[in-house]
Amino acid sequence: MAATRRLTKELQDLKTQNSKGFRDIKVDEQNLLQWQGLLVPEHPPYNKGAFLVDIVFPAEYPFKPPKINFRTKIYHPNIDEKGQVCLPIVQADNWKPATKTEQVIQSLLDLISEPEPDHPLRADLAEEFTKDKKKFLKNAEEFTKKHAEKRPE
Amino acid sequence: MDDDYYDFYDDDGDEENLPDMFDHKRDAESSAEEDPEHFHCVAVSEEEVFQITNAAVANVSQHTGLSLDDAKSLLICNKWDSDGILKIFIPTSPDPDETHFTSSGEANFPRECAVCLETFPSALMVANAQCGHEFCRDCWNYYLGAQVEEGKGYDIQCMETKCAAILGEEFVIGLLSNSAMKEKFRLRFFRDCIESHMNFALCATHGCGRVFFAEHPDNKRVSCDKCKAEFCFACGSDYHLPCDCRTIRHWWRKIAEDANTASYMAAHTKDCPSCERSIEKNGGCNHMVCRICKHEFCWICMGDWKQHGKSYYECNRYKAAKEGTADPAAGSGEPPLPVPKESEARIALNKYLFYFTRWKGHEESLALEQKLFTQIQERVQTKIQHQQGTLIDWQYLTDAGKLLLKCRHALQYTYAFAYYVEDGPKRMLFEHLQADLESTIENLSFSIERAETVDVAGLQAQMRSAEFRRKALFKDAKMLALPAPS
Repeated sequence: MAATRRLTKELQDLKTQNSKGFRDIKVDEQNLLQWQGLLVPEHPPYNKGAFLVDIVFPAEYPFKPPKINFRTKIYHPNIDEKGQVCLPIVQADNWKPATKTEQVIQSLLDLISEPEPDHPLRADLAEEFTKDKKKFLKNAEEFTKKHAEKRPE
Repeated sequence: MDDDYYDFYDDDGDEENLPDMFDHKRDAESSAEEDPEHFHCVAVSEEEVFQITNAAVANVSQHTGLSLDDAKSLLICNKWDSDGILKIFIPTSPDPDETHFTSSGEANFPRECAVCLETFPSALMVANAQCGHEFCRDCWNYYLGAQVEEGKGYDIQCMETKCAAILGEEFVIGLLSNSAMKEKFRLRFFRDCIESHMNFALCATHGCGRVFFAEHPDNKRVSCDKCKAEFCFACGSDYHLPCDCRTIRHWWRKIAEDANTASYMAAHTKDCPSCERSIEKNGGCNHMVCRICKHEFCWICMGDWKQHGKSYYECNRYKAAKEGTADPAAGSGEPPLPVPKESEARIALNKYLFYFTRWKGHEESLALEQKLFTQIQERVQTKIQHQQGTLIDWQYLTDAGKLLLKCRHALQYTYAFAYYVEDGPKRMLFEHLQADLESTIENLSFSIERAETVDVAGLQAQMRSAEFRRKALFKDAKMLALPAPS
């Protein structure tokens, strides 16, 4: 199975790189298609916590894109209450088979630190972000402290 | 090839017999071009399409140094605008950093495919010449198969992240292993060529596959010789002049949305305005004669036909606001009651219903006259079988039927057009010409339905008159720029 072979290698590479932004990658040995990791943003307001993220790969991977889902609640214009995220790089129309999971994660971290209010999943937060950024940052920080996971030492 | 040639104008050149007022000298040669509906287009074979497209591909390839494959993709993306491409194309010298993977020194080293992450000898790796990104043959094949399966053609991109390079036709075909998939891709690519090329139009009937070529493409009528469909060369939908493609789309959307509001009008019976007996319309002509009381009236406006015949005909003219004078209380000494002002929505609805009723009325007439045309043809056949004249003797009747259909179609679409024309003197002129055509067509329809008892010369005079008015109306419509539909 092409997906398993590639995912094994990608997983090895990620673990050797030991990225600060995405840690504690957990993968079921029996099912390489389901990953979970801890997203650790560097910039405020999300640097007061960490976020559990599921990455689910289809059997046709890498010819079809993985799906990303937040397990930890986050106050962000591009991520809805169910944890769904709007990330262009993994949309079916944009997906390229040569795109690595590492690039997907980097793109996710970029979106977290720089929200795109023009393509929101939560219009209310996008409006707050554009109109009253101070208030947005304060709310997001408080929300992160209250709901996010503990940051690893 | 000659058999496939269409000159959509075949019944012109006899205007010298028009009534005096229209009788000015014409150049018989140019009369076809003077018809605003005139359009030249030819049905072409697949080989002929390739002759034309390949010439453009070779030209662009020669001047840009691109491969034929890439030149073709570039042309499709740019709607075959060769001049535009050559104007902006700047040949670049190859970037040394970008070409390391094709340099001969490394050619024999085994390399990793960035998709499956396996390592392969160089012979199993295939690079797309345009961007240089290379992957193993198996990954290309799987990827391309999935893309073709999704219905993609010229727009398949390279597999590399963020690489927007488009893969050429021969490159894709060379990498697909499944022959059915190759064929599917070839067909899709051919369609892409046609659809992106202004001078070609694919028959609007699904699966017909006939291709038409026009030197001067326009939003005019194509009649498919294979499946008999008629459609607009530019947009592929039902032929719709004098409306332009955008306006007619707006109108079709509008009538689809308002179908329920207007449904009551689809009723096929009306009461005679004189004796109030119910009358069913069984022919296309809107000049009705009540079987019971012989009252003659117009099916569209229900007014007396006398006003439609010779004197001023205006049942096509939408009167925006009725003058508020018709107050029955006026004579009784009491102060006249204020006439309630119609709400804007009401006015808009009334305006729409006015044009829709007429649009629908002519559509129904057209359907009935299509039946009539079939009957005419059958009648002519029977007559010939009974030795009553030859095909040539009856040709005028077939011509009359054809002309009636053409003019009725034109008339139907002038009501969609008129809905969008802004108020003012130009609209007045347009409606005047429309009224002219409408009354002429109703006379013609009336005569054709009773063709056996009408003299040939009279019918032919009506035909010329209808043709003249159709042209006048389309010429006027051509001068009117419709405002963008809101």
